[in-house]
Amino acid sequence: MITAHPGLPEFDYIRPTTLEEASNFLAQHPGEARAFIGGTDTFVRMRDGAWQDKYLVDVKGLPGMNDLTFIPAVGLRVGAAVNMNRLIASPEVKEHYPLLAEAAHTVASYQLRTRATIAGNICNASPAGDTIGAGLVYDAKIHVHGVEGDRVEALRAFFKGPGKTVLKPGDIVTAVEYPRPPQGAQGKYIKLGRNAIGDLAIVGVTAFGYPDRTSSGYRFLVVLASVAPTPLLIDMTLLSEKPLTPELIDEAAHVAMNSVKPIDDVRGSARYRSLMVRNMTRNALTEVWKKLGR
Amino acid sequence: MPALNFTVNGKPVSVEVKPNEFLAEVLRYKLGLTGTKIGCNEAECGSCTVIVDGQPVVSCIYPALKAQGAQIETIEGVAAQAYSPNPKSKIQNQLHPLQENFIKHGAVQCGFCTPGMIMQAKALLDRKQGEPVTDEEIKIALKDTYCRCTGYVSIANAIKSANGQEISLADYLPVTKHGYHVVGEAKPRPDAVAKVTGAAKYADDVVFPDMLFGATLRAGVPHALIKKIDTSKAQALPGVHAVLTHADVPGRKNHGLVTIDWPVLCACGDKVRYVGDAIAIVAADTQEIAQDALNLIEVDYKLLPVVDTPEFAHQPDAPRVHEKGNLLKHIKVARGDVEQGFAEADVVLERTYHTASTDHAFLEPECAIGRLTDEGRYEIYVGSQIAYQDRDQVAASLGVPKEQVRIVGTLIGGGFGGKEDIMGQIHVALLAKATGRPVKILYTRHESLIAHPKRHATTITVKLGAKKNGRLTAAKAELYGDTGAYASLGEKVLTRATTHANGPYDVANAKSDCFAMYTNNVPAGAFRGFGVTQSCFAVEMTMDELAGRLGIDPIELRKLNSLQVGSTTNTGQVLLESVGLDECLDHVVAAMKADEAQRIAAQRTAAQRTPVPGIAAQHTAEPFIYGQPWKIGHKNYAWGLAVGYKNTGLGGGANDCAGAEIEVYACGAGTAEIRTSSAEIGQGLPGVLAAVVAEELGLPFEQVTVLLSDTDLTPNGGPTTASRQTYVSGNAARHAAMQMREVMSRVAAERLDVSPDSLKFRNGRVEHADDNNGHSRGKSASFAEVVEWMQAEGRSTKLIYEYTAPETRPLGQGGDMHVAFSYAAHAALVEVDTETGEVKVLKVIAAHDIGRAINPLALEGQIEGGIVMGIGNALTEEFPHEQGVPWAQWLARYKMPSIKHMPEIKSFIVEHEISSGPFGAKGVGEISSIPITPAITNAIANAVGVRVRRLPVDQDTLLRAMKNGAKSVD
Repeated sequence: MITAHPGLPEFDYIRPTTLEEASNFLAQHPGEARAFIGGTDTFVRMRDGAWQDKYLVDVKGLPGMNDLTFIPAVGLRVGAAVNMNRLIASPEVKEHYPLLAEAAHTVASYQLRTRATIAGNICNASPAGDTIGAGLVYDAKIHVHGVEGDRVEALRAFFKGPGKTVLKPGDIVTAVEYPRPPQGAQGKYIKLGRNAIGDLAIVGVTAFGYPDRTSSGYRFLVVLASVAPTPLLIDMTLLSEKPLTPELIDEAAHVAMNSVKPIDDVRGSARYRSLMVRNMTRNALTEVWKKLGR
Repeated sequence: MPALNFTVNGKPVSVEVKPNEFLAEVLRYKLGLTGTKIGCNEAECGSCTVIVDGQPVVSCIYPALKAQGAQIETIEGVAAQAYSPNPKSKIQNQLHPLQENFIKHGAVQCGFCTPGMIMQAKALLDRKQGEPVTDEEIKIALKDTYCRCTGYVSIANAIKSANGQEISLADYLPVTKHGYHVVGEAKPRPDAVAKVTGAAKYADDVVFPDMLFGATLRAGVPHALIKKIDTSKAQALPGVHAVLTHADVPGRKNHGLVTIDWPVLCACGDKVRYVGDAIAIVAADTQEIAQDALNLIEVDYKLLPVVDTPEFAHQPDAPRVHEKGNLLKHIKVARGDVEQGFAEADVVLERTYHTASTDHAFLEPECAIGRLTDEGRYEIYVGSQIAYQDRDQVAASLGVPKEQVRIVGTLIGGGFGGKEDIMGQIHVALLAKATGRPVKILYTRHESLIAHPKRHATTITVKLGAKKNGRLTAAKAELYGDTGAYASLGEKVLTRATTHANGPYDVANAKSDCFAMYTNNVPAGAFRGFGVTQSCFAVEMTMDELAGRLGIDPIELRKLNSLQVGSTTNTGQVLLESVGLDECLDHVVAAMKADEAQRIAAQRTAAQRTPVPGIAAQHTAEPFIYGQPWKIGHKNYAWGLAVGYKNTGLGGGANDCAGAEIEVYACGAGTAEIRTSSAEIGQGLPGVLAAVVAEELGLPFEQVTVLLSDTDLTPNGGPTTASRQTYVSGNAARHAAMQMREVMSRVAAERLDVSPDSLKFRNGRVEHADDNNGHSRGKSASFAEVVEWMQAEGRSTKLIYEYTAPETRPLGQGGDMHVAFSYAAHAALVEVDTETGEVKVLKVIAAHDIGRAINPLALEGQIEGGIVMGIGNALTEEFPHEQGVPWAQWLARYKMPSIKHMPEIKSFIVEHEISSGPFGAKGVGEISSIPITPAITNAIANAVGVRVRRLPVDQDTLLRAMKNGAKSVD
């Protein structure tokens, strides 16, 4: 049974002028109001009937939301309304957070990246979110304005399940902050789509490594997307414990594969996904190792 | 309602909008800027791209109120000055370089994606500020801005040229014959200026005062008995003007192109047979009210068991989709004694293949507008492939004489066979009748996907027998075709699949049986290739494998058996002329060899610098052995090849005719207009007709106009299907022009006092030519003068020619089943990632025998577009059903090739003229999309040793086969 295409429901378009106003409105209409920035997912989901909010609160124009600042001692602060094309083009991002630019570049189409934001990508809490892996390895912090004022949440503790985050009614993400990455850090994002049937990633692997005083001389992190209810951060401790070899990287790829239990769905079999986790992890780690000056 | 104040194309605009209105809708429906197109309304296709404050956005999901205070650029503002629709104005000089180059490079076909494509390209070039743009940058910018016609090659060329990185047409257009003045020359499309400026009108761009909006209630269940339909609540909703059901259809209750089995509206007490069946239709003041009304209609169903595959449908105990049973038709082809042929064979090979249902995914969703004229006639505005049949079908269901209905064809945003059946045409007529007001029905993409007929999914078993020397002794095929809930053109499509199921080979003993089965899936009908896409895949895969068994080079095996002049086809047709298959094959093989030699030389040089294990060693032998793979890292590479053929024209005993009316005018330097109801669906028909007429009348191409698709104003050109328009309508136009030339010759001869035979029509003049050296003796008149003389003498300046193609014979009666066949050889170079199973097509070499190139620019567009669509058929496109319910209910779930899939294409044209064709031309629309699929799958087999016998190629199962050492994916 299929239901008729419901079309777009009636909604009110709210454009608050202050964060307080926005938070209060959202808090007063739980389940009926939704904050949006680019709207790249919001309106598609509303046309599909998946979301049926009565009020859409455009928080894009709020103070500070469009700021993109890099302070060498602190890090990068990406206002929630900074679109991905602007982020990708930023010289500071290119220089200090190339992994973030690389991941953002794989999101949808150029037209959508004109409006799509990192904050939106994070708040959607999709298991496939392209830029989330970079955020997790950089240990990003989420600046939130709520009814009770400002607070900071760690991205690593932000997701509760597919589409679910720690945000409460009235909460608005105002910025994502990326600490300065460790000296000499390198990263790689590999996204595997499918030839047929839609464009969504079926496996996404973010690998990240940096020199450290370990037995191997490095520390590595891996994030797997699309294979678990939320993007999964894996500490690759074994890559710190002994000198790096291709065999050790293979072993790490196996650890990654064994840490997820993907499901069969129309986009790919569980078996294929597991195998791809292993292959993509190995390739991404090898690439990072190479960049680290292997 | 809040006011939206913004600047559009430099002009301040203030307009009231609702919060849930989007920029695309406001531009189109409130500001009348219909150049911005809506293809999907889900941010997938890119057709609605406009520039907001310097940045391109998809306007279908851009809330209009977000544009408060913004600067908006749309396609209408791209030309330097306001565009005048008069084609004779000097507008060309004012076009933006992108617009000029889109026209020049043939990057405009159906034109529906063009505005979005140009806006996206403009944003790219604006960012580059004159710096050179790379192919990679173009691919990144245009990813997910879809074009279904061009294959993207011409678009990329146009963008680079517009950026000052001039690419000459001569660099990439294939070499074709010259020898005429206009025919054979690359000419821009007559409708191109309108299409690049946003002035072109498609059905949803047409608006009438007082117009209502219609909507259709779909069954939503694949197989059920309708127990109750209660429309009372919908009727009572304010703003609703009509709610109609089965009882409100006054005339014929069913429609259909060949078999009249498809209910206009399903009756209570009767059945629904697929999810898209129409139950009720509504007309209301707005689209929103119409949708709300649909939700208020109560329908009770008793669900019935679903018939989900043709094989199941053929079981004796399967539930019946139709009362007459599930077999639409058993189609049989037989030549010689196939069992005897297999007995004589040294090697016999039998293989089974599965092909998928696929969607045309034309970028313009279906739209129709119905209105009653003051005289009480029905006018239907629609982009349809078959205007006259639409007229007849509307008249039949309305219960009025045909003359009471006029179909006014609008431009068509892609068809590919998917706009041949009735969709909203009858519904809007019924609603116009019920309300007395114009009614528009515009399908959502979701509705388009679940309602209109698809490509037939098939299961094909091919059996080939050959002697050791490679001569085929027998070819047999058994096909099951899923025609879905209604026949549509299923019988014809599967007949073509069956007659072509033994390949373009001369085999003494051939037999094919096809069972065209009804199921509860979305109906299947015409789709570019018309069944041959499916059977070509099966035969050409088997040929490569058979060659392996015989130890013969697959190219040799094909040449040993290929159709030649003098050959007999499996339906008993003796081919007397125009069989260029071997020459196509020769071109492709030579180009593959050249490419291979180049690659190996480059690799050797590279290997000397940095030895790569395996590579240098592999190619110490002679360059190019077909089928030999190579490896770089974890990627395998190989070429694959396939050949195919496709009939031109309806054939099979059908009366294949087209009428064309020509009228000449004295205005300016003299012009001619050619009129026929044939449809332009992006293929380039107006350019072909204009060229043919210009050639015969000696007029410059620009002085011929073309009017299409209006049942009041244009004679019946027949359906736009079967690659037939260049041939059939082209012949009609040519003969009309020739007759007009005769009339003009007589008039001019009298005035100039010379013999009519001595007059030559050239350069817009009628000249008395010297017999010896062809130079004018001085007695001449301009084309316009001759027309004035005709008018002064009271002679008619217009005439109609009815062309009928040579007679053909029905299947089973032997003789000529078709008037002509086009032939092609395609080779594909693929890359298979042995870690992921992903397949990429890197290069395609294609050669087509199309008789004669009338317009090489449009021809190349058909070829490149066909090839990229074929890549989709092989690798990305699938419209799967589960128990009758389609999975791809949104465009996001249907993956058609994007610019990222565009391979490098090298194209050759072979011109073995057919004497009955206009200037020797045959069709090209379908053949360009046929052999490419098996060329790709053969290449995959060559690269990794796995024969994929199920489409589309799935990376998951391919990888599994590679890992398990399996030789095939079945």
